[in-house]
Amino acid sequence: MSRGPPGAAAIAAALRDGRTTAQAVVAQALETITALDPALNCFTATLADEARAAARRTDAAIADKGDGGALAGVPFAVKNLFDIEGLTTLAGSRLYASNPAAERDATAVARLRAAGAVLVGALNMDEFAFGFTTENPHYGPTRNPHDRQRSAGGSSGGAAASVAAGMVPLALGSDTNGSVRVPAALCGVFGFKPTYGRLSRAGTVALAPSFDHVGIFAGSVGDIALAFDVLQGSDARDPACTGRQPWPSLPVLDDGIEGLRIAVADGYFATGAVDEALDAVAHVAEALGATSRVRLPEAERARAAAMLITACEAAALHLDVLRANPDALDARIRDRLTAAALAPAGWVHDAQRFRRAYRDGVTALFSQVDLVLAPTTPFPAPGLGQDTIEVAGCEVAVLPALGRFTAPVSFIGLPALSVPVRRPGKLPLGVQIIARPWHEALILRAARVLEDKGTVGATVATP
Amino acid sequence: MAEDAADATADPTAYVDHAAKLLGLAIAPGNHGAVVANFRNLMDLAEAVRGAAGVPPDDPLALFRP
Repeated sequence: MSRGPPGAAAIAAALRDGRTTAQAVVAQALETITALDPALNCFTATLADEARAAARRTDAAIADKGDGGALAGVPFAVKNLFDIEGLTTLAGSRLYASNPAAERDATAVARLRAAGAVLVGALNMDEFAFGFTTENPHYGPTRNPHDRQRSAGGSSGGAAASVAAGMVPLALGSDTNGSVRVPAALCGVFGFKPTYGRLSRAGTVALAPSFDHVGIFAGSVGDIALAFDVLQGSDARDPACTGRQPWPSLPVLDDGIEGLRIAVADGYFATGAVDEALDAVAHVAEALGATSRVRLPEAERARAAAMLITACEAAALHLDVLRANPDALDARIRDRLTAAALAPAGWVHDAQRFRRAYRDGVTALFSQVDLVLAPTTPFPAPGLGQDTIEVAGCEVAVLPALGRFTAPVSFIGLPALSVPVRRPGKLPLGVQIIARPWHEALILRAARVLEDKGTVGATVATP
Repeated sequence: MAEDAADATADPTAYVDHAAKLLGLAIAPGNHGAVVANFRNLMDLAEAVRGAAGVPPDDPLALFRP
């Protein structure tokens, strides 16, 4: 594996310094996509002509004003549930393919473009984002660049794999119960899910509105911070988007971890995983000097409640489709949503009551710690089509297990970054760095320390 | 609501058939087993949420707290 092509910050700097042009950078990205995507199936649409035109405009802006924006010339791609002006938004579904094209960009897309980034395409995902493996029966599976017989994870598999393969330095996905963090971990890249409500979801197709987050994939902590800062800001188009002032992370990225209280999640988060996943957490903890352990109270119940509420919210959103056109859906998703549509309201009410109590318990925990470390997934990438896997001597179902450690975190909207632990010659694994709401900058500071030490880092998978 | 939950637990297959009819959801015979299996999975999740200690009490004033 190699370090791969330049990241977003390096590209933007090279353009500012006149060492390259947006057209050259975008041409290279399109060439890489053409070469690799037939085997990996990351993209459902490549916007080559539009990207070349946007690159020309960026170069003209730089020639004219000397500044093309913080992300000038940076190629990026987005999960195909983000609206892209002029393109039909698929959300991984065959049903949506006949919809009219989106009339405007999703807010997140517009903000990256306004910063000079160049959109090159839309990325594959699980249908309706209701999965963890991006094995999409309508558009094909996305393959893991590190082992093409394995899943890229999901539901933002195309996004994670496109960064891991060096096609683009930056991609956007969505995370409901782990759909940014899981594929990031399985593909060996950084995957960031900020606090619920931090980033606008306007112009994205929802799965479960009280859980959905916009998330970022990149090959470095600096690139995550750069994109995060560009994306922050209130948005009247998304009622859940916070009105808080943006908290720029780049200016504090190198502030280190002195004084930060960092602990390893124990109990639930120290079981139900293969040894190497737990060893990865221990390795990261050692690098950060974290020796204490904490328990997120009732994490097992939190996962159950998260899965239940998610399924019911998703079923409510898609009830009309389930009535009118069920056979057009991925059969597994159809059957899960149909069952959830029938769930008694009392189950959801109980789960929401528990949600409030769980949030209170975890809030109390974060008065004692600043950052918590936990595995992202219980195991490395499973094989495509693999239904069960052995974990600690037990055969478990792959799909629910993949969200074991991510669901209890996003359940209450905590910010979390999955960092790729350096494991030369082995399949990628990730570790979550979790903070209290709105304290994303602390996460990124710790991740930067790990990256500088060489404990974590993304490597591009060469064919 | 309490009756629905009890009915669902007592006989999930009958409940699924009845509830699907009420909601206008047609379940093809070939999918029926999978839907019932998924419903049982949700039952297990609901049971896990209730847990040994039961569900925390309602907090009606939570809406008005900062």
